[in-house]
Amino acid sequence: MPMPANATAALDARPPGVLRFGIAYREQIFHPALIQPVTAAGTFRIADDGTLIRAQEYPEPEIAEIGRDTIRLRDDLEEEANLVPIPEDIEPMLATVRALVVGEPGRILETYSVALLPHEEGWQVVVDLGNATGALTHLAVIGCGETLSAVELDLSDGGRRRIDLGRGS
Amino acid sequence: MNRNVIAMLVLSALAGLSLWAVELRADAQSIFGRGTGGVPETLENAEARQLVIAVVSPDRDERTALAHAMASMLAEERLVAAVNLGPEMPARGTIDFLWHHRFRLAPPAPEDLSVEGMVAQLHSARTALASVTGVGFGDYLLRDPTGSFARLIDGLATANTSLQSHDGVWQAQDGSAALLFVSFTTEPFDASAVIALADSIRQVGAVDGVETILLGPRVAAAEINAAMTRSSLWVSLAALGLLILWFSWALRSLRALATVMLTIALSLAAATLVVQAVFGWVHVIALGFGGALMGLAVDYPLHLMSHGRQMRREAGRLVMLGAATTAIAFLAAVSSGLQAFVQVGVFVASGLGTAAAASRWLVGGVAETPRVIRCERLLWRFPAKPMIEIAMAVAGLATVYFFSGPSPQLFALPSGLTSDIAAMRQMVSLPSGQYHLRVQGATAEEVLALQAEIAPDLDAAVATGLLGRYSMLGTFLPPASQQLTELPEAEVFAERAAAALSASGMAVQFLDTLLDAYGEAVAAPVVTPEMLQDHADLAPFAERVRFAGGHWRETVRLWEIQDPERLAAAIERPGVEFIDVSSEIADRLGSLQRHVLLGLGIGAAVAIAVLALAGDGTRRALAIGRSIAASLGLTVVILILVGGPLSVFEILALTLVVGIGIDYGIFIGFARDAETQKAAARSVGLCAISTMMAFGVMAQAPFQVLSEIGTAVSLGIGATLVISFGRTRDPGETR
Repeated sequence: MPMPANATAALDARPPGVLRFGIAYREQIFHPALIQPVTAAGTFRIADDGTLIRAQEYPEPEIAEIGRDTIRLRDDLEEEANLVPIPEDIEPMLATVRALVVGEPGRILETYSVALLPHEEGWQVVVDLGNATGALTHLAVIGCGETLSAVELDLSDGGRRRIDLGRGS
Repeated sequence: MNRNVIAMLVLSALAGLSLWAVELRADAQSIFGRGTGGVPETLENAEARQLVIAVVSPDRDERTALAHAMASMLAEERLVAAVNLGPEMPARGTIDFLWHHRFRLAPPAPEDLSVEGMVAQLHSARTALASVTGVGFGDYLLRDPTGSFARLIDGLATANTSLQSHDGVWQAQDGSAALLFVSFTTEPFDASAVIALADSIRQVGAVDGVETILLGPRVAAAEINAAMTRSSLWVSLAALGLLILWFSWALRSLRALATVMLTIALSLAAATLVVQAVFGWVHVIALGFGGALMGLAVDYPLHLMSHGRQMRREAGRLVMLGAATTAIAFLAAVSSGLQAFVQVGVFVASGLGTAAAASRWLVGGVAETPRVIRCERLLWRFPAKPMIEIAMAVAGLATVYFFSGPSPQLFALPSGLTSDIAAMRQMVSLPSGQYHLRVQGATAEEVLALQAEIAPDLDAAVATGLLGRYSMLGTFLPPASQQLTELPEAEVFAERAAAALSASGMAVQFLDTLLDAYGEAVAAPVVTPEMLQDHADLAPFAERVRFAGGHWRETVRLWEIQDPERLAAAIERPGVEFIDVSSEIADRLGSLQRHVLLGLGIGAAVAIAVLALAGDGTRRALAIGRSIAASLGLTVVILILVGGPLSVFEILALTLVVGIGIDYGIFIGFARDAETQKAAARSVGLCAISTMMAFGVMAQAPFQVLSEIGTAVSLGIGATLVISFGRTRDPGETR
């Protein structure tokens, strides 16, 4: 597959299997403590008020309503929600996922500098995290041709995450 | 040079000096004395520096946007240390601090250090990795298989409010308002600066259909202060206008009017400066008694002018005698030992001295006499006067004894403030305003140790529903003795951790990371409250234990208390006291009342004694004393039957009735012949009308303290006038 002309064109790609109610995801979490990665799966969708909903089904049910500054966490059975502020250093990851789920990846370009680079799967749009010394050390959107496949993260604790979009458990 | 012109120059100098030098204050300590923490003692501690702002609007987006705008404005304010608009992540430095000191702040129990405990914790940590928050915290949880860090973070989350938020802004639990939590800086309380800040906040929220409620000790104090000042100004201007009209008619001369007004102004300026010079500042209550001083000071020039030139010398002597005895009566307030009331005593005494001296000198240059008001016609025959007077005094004492008690509060809060408190209670779970625990020790460590001791009892009370919840530093910071829990050697930990990793199907190579993290945490120093001060997120916890009155203490806040007596019985022990704030305030007010009442009695007795020594004999002085006691008795009976227990300010106002009673008694009682008595009756009548005008206006003031003083003095003057005009015989008549 040829590389897209530029990052804007690359980010026009859509994940496969976009569902009517959102996008399925499967996340693989790698950490030095783990022999096998932890796998999580569920769906992303956007609520009417613009909140990004991450509905995790596996390994534990968890609904995360990701607002502008906070995340409201609850499991399927719990009525009371736990309110957690969004740590500044994971904001780029959540902003990127939100832009992809909304289907307006151009929003990423409004906030962050990006670079289009080749990747073993096709291409990657690497988001420039600036001089931030938070949890994230690398953030990239991976795709092949006109298909957007995953978001990859490297973490300062030696961990790594890959969120495959359009693929459920 | 005209005497009034000289007086005007002196007044200008004194007024200028007052404006430059006088520092006005309104602190509660000067009224209650330094206490033990139950009554709000000061506006300088951490709790008093808090402010809650509610932006009330049915439109959630509108109120949230206004709250954002207020937070932006407040961020630029000099007086504001911090604004909490919504949930905030602790700073990275705070998280690092908690991580390094996790074994001190949340020491692991033996079971947490067992292989089984670590397996369970590693399982939780692995599950937590999958949570959306796992990116930020997952690694910490994996590196601490003892669970200390997880417990610490959970504990912090519980300590925070349970409110919901919208768009990063806290929302009231009844969904009616957006909320902001503001902390003032440690700058000393400045009422006018706080008022200016409150106005700026309200200006941002000045949108149709939106109400902004501000609730916090400093704002409340500043607004009460401002309301009292406005009320005092209104009363002063209204009384002044009325008196000028009255004097213009009664004195018939601009020069006489100027003499009276100059006497009042000079006495007020001198009294303020004397108090400033003696104490270094002036309490608003002392200044508030400026009104009372005005009521007395106005009498002296009127008495002098009402007596013709030939009687003026004698009238001057009586004025000086009256001023001296009244000053002595007020100086008895010094015995209370409470600064605000000591200042009242010094203020009135020095003001009266100035008024008497100034009026003698100024009236010397006035030839005109006031319009004749034939008050002598009001003199009446009072049969069995001594017996009836004694009966009235006894009735007054009996009423005080049987029907009086401590008033429930020093003064009622403005209705706006009480409704704001009620509204805020619906919006946010406020701790009980009536009950709390006082934990006290010789050191901060002792306080923490006591808190660790009562924590199980408090938890049990929560479990049985006696208590909703509680909040204290000890929940977060264990005493040093508990922080130094003995932990296994690194080798033992390594053995168990390796087994736990293996049993959890995790990489055994990770053991080195766990060992490093364990070693660092074991080596961390004991955490003291001072160390928390270095972190903005934790400092509010640390500030709750403070040194006051020779002890370290914390006021432990309690929520939803169901059975105060049972809770008190379960918790109380040496160093821990269950406080019922309302009964403590009632005790203090009762004590204050007794002090002021005793001061009134001593002052009146000493004044009569001085009158006996300096006047025309013991019999006349005693007769005056009896009339004053009867006037007080009648006034007290009416006040108590109509308005309930006497307030502190009503008792203080009665001291003024004593002073006025002495004045009236001296002039009427010391009259040697019919002519002198006629002049005395006219002068006393003129004074009574003037004083009742001033205090009648004060009685209408919207501020309770002023209206109480105005009512008590007006009633007292009425009673004094009626009784002192009652004669057993005509002057010169013999028994």
